Amino acid sequence: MKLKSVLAFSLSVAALVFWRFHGSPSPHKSSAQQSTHQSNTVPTMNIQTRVIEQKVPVWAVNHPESNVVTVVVAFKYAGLVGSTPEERGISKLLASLLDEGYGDVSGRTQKEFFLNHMIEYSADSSNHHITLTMRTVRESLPYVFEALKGMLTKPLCKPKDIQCVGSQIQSSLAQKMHLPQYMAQDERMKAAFGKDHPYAFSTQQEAERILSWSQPQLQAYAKKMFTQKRLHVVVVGAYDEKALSQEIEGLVNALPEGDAVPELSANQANNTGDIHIVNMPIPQTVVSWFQEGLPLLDEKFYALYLLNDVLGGQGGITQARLMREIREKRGLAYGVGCSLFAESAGHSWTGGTATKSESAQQVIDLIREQWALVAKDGVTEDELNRVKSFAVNSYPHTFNSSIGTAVVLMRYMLDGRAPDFPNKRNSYIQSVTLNDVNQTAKDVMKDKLTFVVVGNHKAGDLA
Amino acid sequence: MKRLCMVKYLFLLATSLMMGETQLMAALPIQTQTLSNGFQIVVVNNPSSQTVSVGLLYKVGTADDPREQVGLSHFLEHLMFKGTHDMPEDTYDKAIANIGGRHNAMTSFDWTMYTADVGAEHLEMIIRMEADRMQNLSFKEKEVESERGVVQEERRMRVENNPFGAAQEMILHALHPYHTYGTPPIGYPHHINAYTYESVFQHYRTWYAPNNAALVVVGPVGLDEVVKLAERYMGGIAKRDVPERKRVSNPIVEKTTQHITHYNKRNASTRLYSYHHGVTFGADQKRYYALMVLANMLGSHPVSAVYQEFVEDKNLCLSIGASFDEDYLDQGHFAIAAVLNEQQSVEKFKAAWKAYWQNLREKGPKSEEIERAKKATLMHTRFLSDNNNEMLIALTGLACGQTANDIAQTPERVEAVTEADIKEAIEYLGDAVLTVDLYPDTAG
Repeated sequence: MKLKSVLAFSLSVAALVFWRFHGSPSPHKSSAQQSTHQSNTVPTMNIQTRVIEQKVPVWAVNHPESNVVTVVVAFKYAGLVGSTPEERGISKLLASLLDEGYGDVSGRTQKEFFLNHMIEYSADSSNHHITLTMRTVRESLPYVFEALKGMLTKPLCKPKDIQCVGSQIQSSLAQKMHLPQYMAQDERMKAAFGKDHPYAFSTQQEAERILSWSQPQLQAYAKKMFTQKRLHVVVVGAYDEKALSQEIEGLVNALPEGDAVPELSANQANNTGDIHIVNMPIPQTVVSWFQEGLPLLDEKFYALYLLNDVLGGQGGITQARLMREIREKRGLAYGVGCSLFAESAGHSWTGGTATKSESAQQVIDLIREQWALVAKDGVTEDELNRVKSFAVNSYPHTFNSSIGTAVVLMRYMLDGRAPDFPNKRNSYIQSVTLNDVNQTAKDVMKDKLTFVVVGNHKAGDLA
Repeated sequence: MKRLCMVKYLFLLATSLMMGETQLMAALPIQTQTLSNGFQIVVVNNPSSQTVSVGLLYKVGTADDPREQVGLSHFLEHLMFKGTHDMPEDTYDKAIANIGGRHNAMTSFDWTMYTADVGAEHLEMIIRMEADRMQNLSFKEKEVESERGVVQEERRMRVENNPFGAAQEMILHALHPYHTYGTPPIGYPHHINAYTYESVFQHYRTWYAPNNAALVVVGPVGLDEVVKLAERYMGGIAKRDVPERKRVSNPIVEKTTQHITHYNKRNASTRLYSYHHGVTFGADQKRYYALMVLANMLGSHPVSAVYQEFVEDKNLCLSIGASFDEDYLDQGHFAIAAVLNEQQSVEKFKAAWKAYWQNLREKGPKSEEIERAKKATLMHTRFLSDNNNEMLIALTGLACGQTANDIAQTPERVEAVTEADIKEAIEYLGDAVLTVDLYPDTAG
């Protein structure tokens, strides 16, 4: 995250708005509600992803009627998973320094250039990759590539900016250590994958290191990671294909070829059934849990995906089993849900909620009870139909902005999907049967869950 | 939270957006029509979108809640999902989910909005269901109890577990000692405990009238089509008297700056705030747009002079920025906020800010600063067609004294802000009415 102009934890009183919920409801095949329209048709997805021939993977979707275009550029495994243990944390600072100047262009000049050419810019380093996202108008596309070439080959990373931006990030990380959801996540990653795994690189470790990086280290890391071998490009919106192709070629040729990107092996989460307690003096306890998951490309993945939706997926308001039992029937939480974590260096099946301290044990018991019920009896045909219906019918919403489309396509590309995956994805969902889901429940669901609890509890308080 | 006010100026239409030299932007087609029962329809045609975003906006929010039951608007918003006579219990949720739609609802000080994103072919279904729950809300007493628990947990999540929740409540109260803006939209626990089955229904019957609502639709649809559907489902709902939105005013206190100092073990940095009186759209439009630009000029974009001086050159703070309560029916505030660089003293920062502010009042900003701030304010407008939802939220100005036309003209009015307007706005802001220092509590 870029701090800069965004005030972290701003106390602005502007627009105090209370959202009812994020995410989306789960669907249901309504029983003969005359007023409820039953949709049986599966939306035909027609995302025309063009593969532009280059030395690097390039996907593009042309919207000639639009005037907005989004360019996403990612360097595969340039984030935590590709760093050596000594380098962990540097990618975040590097990503945040990429608009602080390059070559003989100062940071200020670069930011003015973006403003003058109407380029909306953000850069991020996740667990996995370093990604730059730039949205602009058709006419400014050449300026995007002009800037990219400089930023990626000659980043300045001046000591003054390291100090300034590094302090901003450090302040934000220090604050995160007081936020229970982040502390729960750190503890969960450590419990699931072991303390030395890149996913377990904690907020605290990151904060300790963020001001230790030097200009030569940052520039060397940039040189190592910003290579042709790691580069992936997605463009969505208004462009001329020939001109775009030339721009991309110019960018590719500006970068060193680099070494082959090492493949990763994905670890299974280590589910011991323990309860880990992180003490924090807060009135509401954050409860999170995990068990073993499945790799993204596993043949049972979609069955597990739908099973997850029945239990607590898609932020279901009244339909998912956990929401029904914990929120709707008992008023014990504002939200509860679970999701699949299926990434290149590890997988798990995780969930989370928050409840007042005195209800923590009750909520933990309810989660275990619902988990065991599904493991034992599976889900019903009705439940499967409703989550399938939601999964396929909501899919077009993924593609309703150039930026949304570009980000999703980049994710697919880095996951190793084919360019026509969006047009096939719904058929994969449709082909899952009740038998598949219930067999997967038997195979994958465990009789124990590992819990991570952050709140006003001490060891032994919860069982 | 900040996101919403950012979004606000992004939208509306840009008729003449400057880019480089001359980059004209076609106006976004905001169209409106009002039915004979007073129900307003606003349509923003976005032909490149595959889906429609529909919002039903009610002109009622926290500031209209009963004194002893603040947050009732928010609680009603929750219960609006508990069904109607014809569509009991969770039928609404199921119906939208079944077509892969996404629904949500928001409550602010001055408005409540129910939104749905669905395929364009499902627009009629959404309008039909919104018409139904505008008239026929029906829920059981026991649902009030379980939902009360949900809202108490929501409060714990947003306020009590939030390291800045308590500070935020103190600040609101100091800024608005009498006006209901002084209590957050979720209310205090004793307010939440005071809601009853009857009071929720009373609130619903009082405010959820067609003449106190607007249907806002963004997507590949035209006004005629939406009006036809609205006429069919909402046209028959009788108009009725709705109370005047008259809130208790705060007393006018002149030449006084309040101050709050707060130590907190869960705060990691020294955070300094300075609040000035803002202005409503209804009170002074010229000043209103000038403050919108000024908020950008004072740090809300990455090449502002204040950011350069305070963060990059003098390293006095890690971040600095300004915000303006532009989406308020009654007077809100203009705030400047900074996170101190812990290598520097609070006194040094405050002295530097005082000098900077004094200098701005005397000499005014450089004209290129103003131009840059306008450009940054209008930049987002360019990308509004890329996001239906941001446009929907922008249209909540309808509940804060703006007409659809006002909203549509935002870009040209921002463009028209002059150097003199900015100077006048700075002078208007004058001295702070409240300053706040939030310190990490390192003792013990």
